[in-house]
Amino acid sequence: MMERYASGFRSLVYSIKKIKDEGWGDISGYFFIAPLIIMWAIFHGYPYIRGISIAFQDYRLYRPETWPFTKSFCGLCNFKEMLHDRWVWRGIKASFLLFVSWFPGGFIVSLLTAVLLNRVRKRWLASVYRVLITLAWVIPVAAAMPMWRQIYEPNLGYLTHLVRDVLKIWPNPPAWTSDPFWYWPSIGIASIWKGFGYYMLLFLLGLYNIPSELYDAAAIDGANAWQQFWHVELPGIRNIMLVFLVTNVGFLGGGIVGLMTFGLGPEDIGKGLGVYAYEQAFGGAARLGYGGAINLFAGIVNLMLAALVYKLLPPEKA
Amino acid sequence: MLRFNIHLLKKLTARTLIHLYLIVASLFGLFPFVWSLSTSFKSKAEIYSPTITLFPRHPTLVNYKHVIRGVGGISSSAGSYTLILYRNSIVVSGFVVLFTVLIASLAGYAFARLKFRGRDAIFAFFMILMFLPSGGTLMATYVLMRHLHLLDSLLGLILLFTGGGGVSLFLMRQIFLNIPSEIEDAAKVDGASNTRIAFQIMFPMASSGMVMVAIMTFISVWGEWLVTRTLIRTAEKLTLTAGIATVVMRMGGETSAAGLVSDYGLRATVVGLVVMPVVLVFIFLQKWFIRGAAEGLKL
Repeated sequence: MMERYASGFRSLVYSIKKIKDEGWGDISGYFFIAPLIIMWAIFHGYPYIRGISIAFQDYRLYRPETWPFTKSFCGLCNFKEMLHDRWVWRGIKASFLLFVSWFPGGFIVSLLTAVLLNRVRKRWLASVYRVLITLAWVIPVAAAMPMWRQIYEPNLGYLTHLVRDVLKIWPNPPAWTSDPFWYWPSIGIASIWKGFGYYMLLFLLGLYNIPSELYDAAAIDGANAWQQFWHVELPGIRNIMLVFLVTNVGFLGGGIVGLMTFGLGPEDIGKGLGVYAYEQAFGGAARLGYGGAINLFAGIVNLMLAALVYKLLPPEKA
Repeated sequence: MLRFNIHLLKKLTARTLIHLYLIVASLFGLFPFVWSLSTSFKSKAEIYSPTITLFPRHPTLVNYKHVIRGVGGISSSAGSYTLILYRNSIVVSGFVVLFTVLIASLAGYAFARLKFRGRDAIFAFFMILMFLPSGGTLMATYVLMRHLHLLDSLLGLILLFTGGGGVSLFLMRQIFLNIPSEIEDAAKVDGASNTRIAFQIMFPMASSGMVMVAIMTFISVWGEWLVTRTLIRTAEKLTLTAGIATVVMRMGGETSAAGLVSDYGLRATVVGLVVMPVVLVFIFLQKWFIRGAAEGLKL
């Protein structure tokens, strides 16, 4: 036992000596990073750890006696309850449907737009297109969703008018967001609209960074536009596409603001898992513990999905 | 000759198709703005009329008057409710942008340029943490803010939003890494201190990156909705974005019964007021933004 302490002590002395010999380097560096580290530790680091521990507690906002960890620790009680909670399963389904409604379309539209915009040679024109397309990204989700609600409004909105009276292709359009089927395409299009400018920009910046020699080489080999896309551009932005995939594949529990400001649809079919967790934590009985447990579960699933994608499609070193 | 013409024709068709697609994409991107703006200039009678038009036939400012002046008992003693929320939004996003740019630049410079023990380990640790899921953090954030007595306070929002600088740090470090080291070395030979080099030489050179971080921070803080609604309980302390629904609700009821305005028109107007500042900032600064982003993303 003493032996162990002695060796631990020796290694501590050794590392202090090493620091003494080699020095701490530029001490001012620590002062430069201190504000960021301290702010992060208080406002993100702490909630992070507390967010995990709260999931194992029966924490109720309006009952102060349940606040301390030791007073209301209940093991896996929240997770056991989730298994039998009908709304958790409905929430998982809703989160998945939201993902399916926007992700494939969003990916194709963003990529197509970026590739085509990259071929516009007139700089001012490219810049006009770029600004108009990215405009939707900069506005708040909480403002974008009400905008779309107004377009979808069955009597006053423009969409019904457009397909029924202007284009005359659809004499009896549905009530869009109040229709259990059309709810998903409706919110899907609104989400694609909100996000495709940003992802387009991401892909576009990737395309800008492809060395022009590669294009020249392809041109010398007589590649047509399609071959250029397939053999130069797509491999060139592979890593950026991976960023897109890894950051978005975790579908569970996301899109809370979008769903809540868009409205949850008929019979709350749009109550995704995140929305349900939020309701449990801050509405009604205010069960922060249960809400936190649902979110922790969603977070772990999301992390596993991202890790899986990363494992299956490792990024290529440039 | 004929072959040449076919080639040219093909090229022209391709170009036309590209522009056609981009015009459609631009119109798709623009349309909700147009509809919202047009609705905000329509009177109640026009909104409810059976013939729907894309542009208002009789433009009116009645919605704006209601939203800004607060007609019909919705203005509190301190002035118009909408303007109070506007002020809150400007205060919160202004301070957060200022603090974030400052602390992310300091840390980004240190991580990119200064050599101190454990630098790369600390940075790597930070980047890993950034990618971990933020599961139950909203619930825990609420608990934290209650401990600190920062619930229902604008200061609390400012501190909280300043604390999340992962992306800003990453971008600022990248920007500083891309600045050639000769200038810095010359200053060091002249005996300038790190602080002087940072503030007088490096920070001005990183300004395009700072503008980008500022825009990104502004966009995200201005648009924040969920955390603000969770932490703020007093209606007068909400930000404008978080209060969109509240503003419309406060104005509905008695005022729309007056026959001049409708919730539909008011909502479009409030949404327009929320959207306007970010859209203007983005349009005026987008060149800087693209430049900064292109530098920051050279991985």
